[in-house]
Amino acid sequence: MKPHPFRVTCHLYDGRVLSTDGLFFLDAILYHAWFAKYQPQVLQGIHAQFDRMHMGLPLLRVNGRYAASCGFYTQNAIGTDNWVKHSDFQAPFAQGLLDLGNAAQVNTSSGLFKSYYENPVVRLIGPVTFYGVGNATKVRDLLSYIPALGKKSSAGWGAVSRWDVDPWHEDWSTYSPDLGLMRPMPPEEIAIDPAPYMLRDVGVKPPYWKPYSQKLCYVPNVFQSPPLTHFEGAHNNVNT
Amino acid sequence: MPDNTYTLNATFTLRQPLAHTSVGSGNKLYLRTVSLLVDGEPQRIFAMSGNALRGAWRNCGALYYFSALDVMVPRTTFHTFFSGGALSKDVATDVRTIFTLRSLSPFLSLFGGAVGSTLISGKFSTTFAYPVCLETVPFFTKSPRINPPPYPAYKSLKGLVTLIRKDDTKSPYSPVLDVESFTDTDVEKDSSPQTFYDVEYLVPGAQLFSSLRLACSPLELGAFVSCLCEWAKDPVIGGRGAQGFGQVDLWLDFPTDTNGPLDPFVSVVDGQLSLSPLAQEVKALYDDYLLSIKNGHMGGVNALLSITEGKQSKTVEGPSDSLPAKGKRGRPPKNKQEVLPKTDEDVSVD
Repeated sequence: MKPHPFRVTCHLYDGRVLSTDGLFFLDAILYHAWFAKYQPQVLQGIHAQFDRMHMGLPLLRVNGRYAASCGFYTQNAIGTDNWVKHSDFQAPFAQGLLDLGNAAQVNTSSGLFKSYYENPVVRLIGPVTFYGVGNATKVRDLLSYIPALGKKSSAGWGAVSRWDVDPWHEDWSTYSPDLGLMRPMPPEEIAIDPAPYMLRDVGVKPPYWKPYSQKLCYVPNVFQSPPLTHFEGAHNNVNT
Repeated sequence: MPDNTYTLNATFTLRQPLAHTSVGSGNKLYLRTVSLLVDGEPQRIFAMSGNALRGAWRNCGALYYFSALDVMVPRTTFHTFFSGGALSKDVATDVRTIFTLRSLSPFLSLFGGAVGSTLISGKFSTTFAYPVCLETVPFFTKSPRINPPPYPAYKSLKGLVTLIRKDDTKSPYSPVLDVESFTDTDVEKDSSPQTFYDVEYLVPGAQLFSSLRLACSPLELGAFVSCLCEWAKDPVIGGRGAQGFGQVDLWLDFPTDTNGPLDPFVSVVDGQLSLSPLAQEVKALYDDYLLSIKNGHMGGVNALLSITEGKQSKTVEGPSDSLPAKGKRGRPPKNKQEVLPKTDEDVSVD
């Protein structure tokens, strides 16, 4: 089947997503979805029973990369949120259940049992739009396996309420007339004026977090409008 | 057995004031708020953290699990089950071990955690719980569980209560106080520990909504029901439960059409737990399974503790019928002539 251009819109439940750099990649999302659909045991860490099969995404491949853009969105606020991990050794239910053995004490301020207070970067964003070229029907099916964007989705950040996949009139996976650069591109391959874009190490294909996937690239400006100056966070929390 | 995806709508109704704070300012403790986009503008609205809800249920589930097995729990295992554990470079953890661990504890498989050098991903996620109010109308699904409109404004749902930590050295009980134990400095400074502090709360009768997603096996769903059974003994969310805050009613329902009949899963109303037939079925499945573990199935509790305490890292065998023979690096033996099966995702253009 001939690949066609398409647009993906991710509607978030409450728009609150944890991401330090604000970059979301359609091919990375589909890569994760592929494992969720075909090899969920890999995501569960029990891939001793890995059934080897050809890893293919329903996207056109161009020069070793997938024809898929970053996610573009309106950012309404940015700041930090917090979550706490605390050890429960002192909880009432520990008595009669916890066997300390020969240990004289449990140190919860450092080491293995440390309790901590995390301040991740949270963004309040609108719908996230991606562009790609490939089989839209299969993309829609794979996206149904993705319930959230960003980090700490188990605790409620980045929950997705709906994915929309629509045909698009032209290939916007790499460049677009409206948004310019659409995905990270190495300096030797970029075909437009790179002046507006930041140069940094970033992945060019999934898995993006692996060092071998990363290169020095120009990175697109994914914010469709300037971020508001509003700052949210635990230390700005007085709201009576 | 392949995993199923269960989506549940959670509706909380406060029976007591709810206190859930992030940080305080002086002697004032404010409700935890987050920015939500309301009519195009970010507004600060109360949110019960998904991490807090998960943490409360996690403790209950772990308590149920070990109570059923009737064992004392070493501290590393305790930390893994109740708090999620921590990664350690000292213990290499094999994927077969993780497979065994998931089988031995559907609870840990559901909530996830860190064992040795490996993270076990969880299968249960929950959204933040927001109050039902004018500002959050776009975020919740209309359901008979939620009070009908008109919805209150968010500001009308908040209150502030002053609490006192009394200095009992000046109370009628003071005759039992050993005044000789006072040092001269204590007397000179007259350092009374009496304190006033303010706690902001969400008013009783307010409702919260959230959505849960479990991509798990029926056995793991049974582990989740066990969490709720334990939690129903003291159905409290948020902080200051000992001072009377946070008691709630909870309804967990499968999503249905707005005007259709409800499809309840579990409810805790007036402290009474009510399980649907499905919840009863998976809970019975889970209880039977825990009994078999207690009786030595798959090595029983000793096998579990040897993994989580890091005393046996690479030699614990899982169910042999579901694991292929190990080749290099734990993968199946490689056959170069093998034609790899294709998935239907392949696009034959490069």
